[in-house]
Parts: sequence; C-alpha cells; structure tokens
Amino acid sequence: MIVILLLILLSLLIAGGFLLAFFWAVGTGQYDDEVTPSIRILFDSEYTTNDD
Amino acid sequence: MSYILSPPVRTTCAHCGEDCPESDHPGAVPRFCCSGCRTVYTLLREHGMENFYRLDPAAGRSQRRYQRDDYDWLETEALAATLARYHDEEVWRVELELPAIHCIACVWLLERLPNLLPGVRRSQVDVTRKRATIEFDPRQTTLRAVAELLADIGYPPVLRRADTRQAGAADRSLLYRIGVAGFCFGNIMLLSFPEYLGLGEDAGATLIGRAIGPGMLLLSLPVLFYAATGFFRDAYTGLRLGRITLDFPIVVGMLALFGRSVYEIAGGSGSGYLDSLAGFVFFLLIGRWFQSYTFTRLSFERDYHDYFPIGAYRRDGAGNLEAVAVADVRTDDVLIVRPGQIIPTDGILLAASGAGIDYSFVTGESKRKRTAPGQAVFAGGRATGKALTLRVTRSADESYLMQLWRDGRRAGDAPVGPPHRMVGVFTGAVFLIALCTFIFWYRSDPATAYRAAVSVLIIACPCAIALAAPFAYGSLQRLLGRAGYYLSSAATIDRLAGVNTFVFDKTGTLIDSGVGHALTWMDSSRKGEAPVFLAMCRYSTHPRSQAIAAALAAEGMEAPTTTAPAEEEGRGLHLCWRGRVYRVGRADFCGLQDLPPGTYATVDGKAVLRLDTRPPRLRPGVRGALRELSTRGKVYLLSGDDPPKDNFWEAYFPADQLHFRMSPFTKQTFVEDLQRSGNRVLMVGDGLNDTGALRTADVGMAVSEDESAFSPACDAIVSARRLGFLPSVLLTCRRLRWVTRIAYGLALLYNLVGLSYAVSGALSPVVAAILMPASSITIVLVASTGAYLLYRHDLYHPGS
Repeated sequence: MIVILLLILLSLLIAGGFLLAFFWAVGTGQYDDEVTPSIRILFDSEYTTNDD
Repeated sequence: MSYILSPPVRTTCAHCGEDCPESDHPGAVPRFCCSGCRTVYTLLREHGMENFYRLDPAAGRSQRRYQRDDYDWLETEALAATLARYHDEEVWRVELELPAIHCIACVWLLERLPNLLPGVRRSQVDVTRKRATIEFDPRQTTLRAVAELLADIGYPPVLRRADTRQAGAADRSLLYRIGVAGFCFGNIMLLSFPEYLGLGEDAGATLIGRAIGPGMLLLSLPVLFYAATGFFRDAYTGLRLGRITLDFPIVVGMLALFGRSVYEIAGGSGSGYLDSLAGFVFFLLIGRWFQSYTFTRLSFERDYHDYFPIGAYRRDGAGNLEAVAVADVRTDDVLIVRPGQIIPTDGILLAASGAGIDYSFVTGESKRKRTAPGQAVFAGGRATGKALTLRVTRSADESYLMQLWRDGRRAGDAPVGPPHRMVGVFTGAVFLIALCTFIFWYRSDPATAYRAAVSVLIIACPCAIALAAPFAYGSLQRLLGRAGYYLSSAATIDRLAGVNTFVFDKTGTLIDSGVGHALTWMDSSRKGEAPVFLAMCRYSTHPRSQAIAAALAAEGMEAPTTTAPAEEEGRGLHLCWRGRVYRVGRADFCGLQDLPPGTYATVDGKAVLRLDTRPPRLRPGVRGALRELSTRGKVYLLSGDDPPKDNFWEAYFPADQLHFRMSPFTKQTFVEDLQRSGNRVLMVGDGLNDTGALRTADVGMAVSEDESAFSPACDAIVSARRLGFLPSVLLTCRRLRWVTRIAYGLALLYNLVGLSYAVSGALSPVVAAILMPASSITIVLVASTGAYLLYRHDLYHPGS
C-alpha cells in the first residue's frame, strides 16, 4: 500500500510541472494577447517573403 | 493569382475598397479613390506584397480623410527616446498605438514591416489592444522614418510616452493566483477521495491515512497565504473605513474553515474542509477575473497627454528652431506652431498673418476664430493656413483646457456586489445564528457547540452571493459591447440603471456631423481647376471654406502649392494664380447674378461649383429614443452654438430644456446643479469640450463614429449608429437588477439548507464539498443566463 504514497507524490510532481508551465506561459506574456496569435496562424507560409 | 495582376474593372478603390469618385481616365485599372491609396498600393507592389489584397480585397485604410501629422520632432533623439520602451546603440523597441488596426490583413501587413523599411528588425501586432511593438536598428533608420512609413500606409501612430509600468501586470498577478488556487483545489480534492468514498475511518489507521491530512494542510497554505490575500486586504480596507463589505463574511468563513480543518487534522479526528476552502478561493478568483474584463481596444481614460503633442518647436534667442518636449516648455518661451499642429500651451500671438485657429476639437462646434497679433490663444486649437508664433503665458499643465480634466475627476469604480445594507444584515444574521447555536448546544454538549457554531460560519460563507453580481454584470457588459455600447466597467451598468435625467450635447451627438453641406458641380468640365479651390479653402478657417475643402479632398483631389489667397471678411476668398482669377464666396462676391444664395466658386467669373447648407438631420433612431426617454425623466439639450433661427430643436425638446451658448465650464456646472437637486444624470456628448460634463455626470457616454478614434474620457462609448437603442439599453440595465435579486435569493436558499445541517451539528465535509460548489455553479449559471436572456429580449436584432 505504501506504493500509493509514491503515486500521490508522482502525481503532485506532474501537476506541479503543469503549474510551472502555466506560470511560464503567463510570465512570457502569452495570455496578454489572446487574439492575434490565432490570426497569425492563418497566414500560409507562402505569404512570408523572408523569414529569419 | 490572376485577379491581383489584372484586377477587374470596378468603381471601388483597389486599396481601401471605398467608392471611387468619377475619374478623368475612365477604364484605367486599378482604380483608386485618392492618390494616397495609389501610393500605398504601389509601395506594396514594389515590395512584392500584393498578397495583402488577397487576405481582404478592401483591406487598406482609405487615405482620403487622413491629414498628415508632422513627425519632424522625432528627429530629436531626447524626445524620441521618451517614447521607447527600451533603447541602446544597437536596438530600439517602441510600442506604438495604431488605432487603424482592424483586420487580419492589418496584422499581415504590419508584421511585414521589416520588408518595407530596412533597419526594422521585428514588428509584432496586438489586435485587441491595437498596438504594434516594433524593434529597429537606430544606425539604419529612425523612429521618425518608422512613424512616417506607418502613416503613409494608413496607420498613423498615436504617439505617447512609453508606459513604464509592465503592461497587464495586474492581470498577470490574478492569473497566477487562479493557477495556484486551481492546482491546490484539484490536488486537495484528489487527497480527499477516501473521505468522499466513506473510507476515511479505515484509512485513518494506516500510514497513508495519516500522511493525507498534513499533505492537504500543506497544499492549502499557498491558497490561504497567496491566492486569497486579496480578500483579506479588501475586508481589512472595508473595516477600516467602517464598512462591512461582502469580503468580511467571506474571510470569516475562510478562517473558520481553515481553523476547523487544522484542529481536526492535528487532533486526528478528521481531514477537515480544506477542499471547500480551496474551491471557494478558486471560484471567487474566477469571478474577479470575469469582472475585470474591459474593452482593451477602447480607451476610456484618455487624458490630455494623449491628445496634445509631445514635442513643440521653440525659437531660441538666436532665432534657431529646436524641438523640445512640451513638458519642458516654460512661460515666455517662443513657440512656432506649424499648420495642422495643435497649440500645446496657452499663449499670446506674436505674428500670425493670414493664419487661423480651428478650435472645433476643443469646443465641438464649428466657430471661426480670427487671429491677430497680441491675441490670447488657448491650448487645444489647431493651426490652419500658416504657422503661428506665440509667446507662452502658461505651461501646458496649467492651461485652460487642463482645468477641465482636473475638475470632476472621479475615483475608480468599486467592484459590483449586493447593496451594503444587505451585506450588513446578512453578516449580522450569520453571527446571530452562530451565537444561538453555540448557546443552544453549550449546556448539553460543549464539544458539539464549538463544532456547530464554526460550521455555521463555514456554510454561511457567501461565496455564491459574491459571484452573482460579477457574472450578471460582466456578462451583460460583454453583450452590450455587441450592441455597440462599450462600458468601461461592469459597475457602469448599475449606475446606468439608476439615471433619471438625460443631458445631450448637440453637434456630433444627436445630428450627423458630416452631412450639413452638399457640393454641386455647376460646370463639371472645369473640374481640373478645382484643386486650386482646395488649396485656397485650406488657408481659410471659415466653416464654409472648411466644408468645401473637406468635400474636395473627399473627391480625391490634391491641393497644388499656391500663394495665400486674399480674404475679404465674411464675403469670400480671392486668388490670382497662373493667369487666372479664382474666387470662392458669396454669389455677389464672385460676380454672379440671379442665383440663389449659397457659396460659389468661380474661375474667371464662371461658376464651377456651389455649396448648399442642408438643414441638420437627426441620427437614425434618435427621434424615437428622445421621445421614449422623456417619459422616463427630463431630457436636456446643451449646445455651444447660437440658437438656430428656425427653432429646429423645439420639436424635440421643451423650450426651457434647451440651452445654447454653453461653454465647457457652464456645461459642467449645469450637470452639477442637476445633481445637487437630487437627479442622477446621464450625459451624452462627443467633443473634448464635454469632458468636464462627462466626468461630472453619474454616467458619461461618448458618442463615436469610429470606435477606434479619439473619444474623451468617459464611462461608456457608444457607436453613433446605435444611439437609438439607448432606451432599450437603460431598460436592460434596470431589469438586470431582478436577475441579481433572483440569484441572491437562490444563494440564500442554499445557505438555509446548509445552515439546517450546521445548526444540528451534522455538517460533514462531504456535504460541504457538494453544497458549496453546487451553489456557486448554480448562481453563475443563473446570473449569466439571465443577462443573456435580457439581451436577447431587449437588444438583439438579427441582422443589425
């Protein structure tokens, strides 16, 4: 049964990883603008004339 | 794509898609409405960027109404640097507000700025906030070049000092808190599973069972000490002001939850209610986030810094011009204001031959101002015709116009919620019930007495009540945005519901601003001469001249560089140019006989065009709206103009509720007087001159033709086409109070059910864990559905 303790810790660890990922996303401003990226993805790559 | 290379013949502009005026070269393709659009089209073709038109055939911004600003002062690095978010020798980063951003093609074009201008490294657009972050290399290009390019392709930037605050910092903090609360909520629920399944008793004996309690306690610490700190702070602030806010019973409930849980876990008697605590905080934070919604693309807090230029040209003792920041302009400096520029400070004219000042933006009315040396001029006017030289009498911050902003500034809105008296009664009742429960149980069973009393505090925690208003008001605020009514905050709805007096500004609010004049060609074979009239009229500040200039510019004409015309006051303009005599003015001034009165333009005595003044026309729907509003309360009209001769307005307003010749200050005092006699005032206006009145009124509503354009500081912006819906909007706001009342009733019902468990001392963690989220979710659903149904019923018109 002690293995459940391990599983709980593991699940906490994974969930914590997602929490950190969320923090990173907020911190890098990915929630500041929720509209433009959805527009940008619509442009076909052929439209881009020079990408660096 | 073939249709790009050979666009079909059509009468709309290939760049902006607006109707083209009649062309001198029929059949020429592509067609343009004006030379500005042609320039942009050519520029994009040259850089292989025709795909812009594939994204949206009419994506471009029309260049016709656009008056080019002066960006010379950006050459002065010290001034340009105030706009930069970051700058060093190798890279500059600026965030520019581009109100013209409106569609997918805008993003595409603006993010390809590096293709158009060497030296620009990166350009990133934010559509919702209508901003572009641009990085460029100062060794290859300048901010001035960037600004001019943006203006040329139809996105004139609104230049303002770089905001040193981190953008959206407050929102981010709330997101972090929601993340933490959600994480802890989920994991505490996971750990509570044995309890939910009734295995708690058995598990208590095992190692796992003993580890679970402290684990939950550990997870609840970030919730209480990080995520929930805002509620503690608000409750404390409320108490210090001597008010019981809704945060107070919430905080009491949270502390009771936490204390009870710590007691149970430490004593090994149970696993507490920490899942409920975390759930509370999580839902409440989501409520706050929902309520904090604003129309980010609109700006409700414009102040004079956004309207006034940042730079000005100062003449030093030696007669040299230098660009300085307006903030650094001191009394007795000598400033040169170029044509088209805005006067940044109050001053006295030194020299101004033939120059004029257009105050229409400040006053909202088209009154003409003659200029003469020694005359006092006020900040906010726009120089027309010729450059003005003025000596500064008051610095920018002390100018006449600034006083409008300083007076009547209102504090920020409090979050929406139930009325204070209800909160007080509720809190008192909860404490009373807890006390009675304690006394009832204490004699027979002291242990149960403590438990039951704390349970009462826990179950009565008004989480659901706190969620009702944010979701009801927040939903309606979003929905009203679809109907063309943009409110600065959810609390504005509450204030709108309470207004009983309506004050309207005239020009631009009730009547269409652009339809007062009509241009008729009397001899269209002489259209080729018309650009000279445009040039002449640009020199004059007379409203008729301005109307002719606007109409000719709208036909896509470009003014040639001419000498200044001679102006005969009140009669007309006269110019000899390239051997011909051009006249614009009254019929007798132009030498025309037997013609109806009006304004004429002639070449060598032959009439070319006529300008008629049409009677003002109400905006669509306004007539019905005024009639409906007058059944609700008094409706006033304030105008800065002289009363019209034909009593036009008396058909719509009682004569004693019409007020003419109002200055910005008397408008403000008028609203104050109404408020002093107990009225709650809705002020509807549009110009900067209404700013004082808009701020003073209980709700200030700015009417805007183009929502992205400038509007004065206000509580709400309404699209001009939708002004007729005003009575329906007010009705919806009033009805929304019933939705919140129903939600409060339901929340109290849930509380009563919970209390019946609590007073009997039988509140188990499972009951709490079911009851609390259930009540919160019910309230959220009722509040937002209620708001939606109201919108559907009152305001939703398919196809509108």
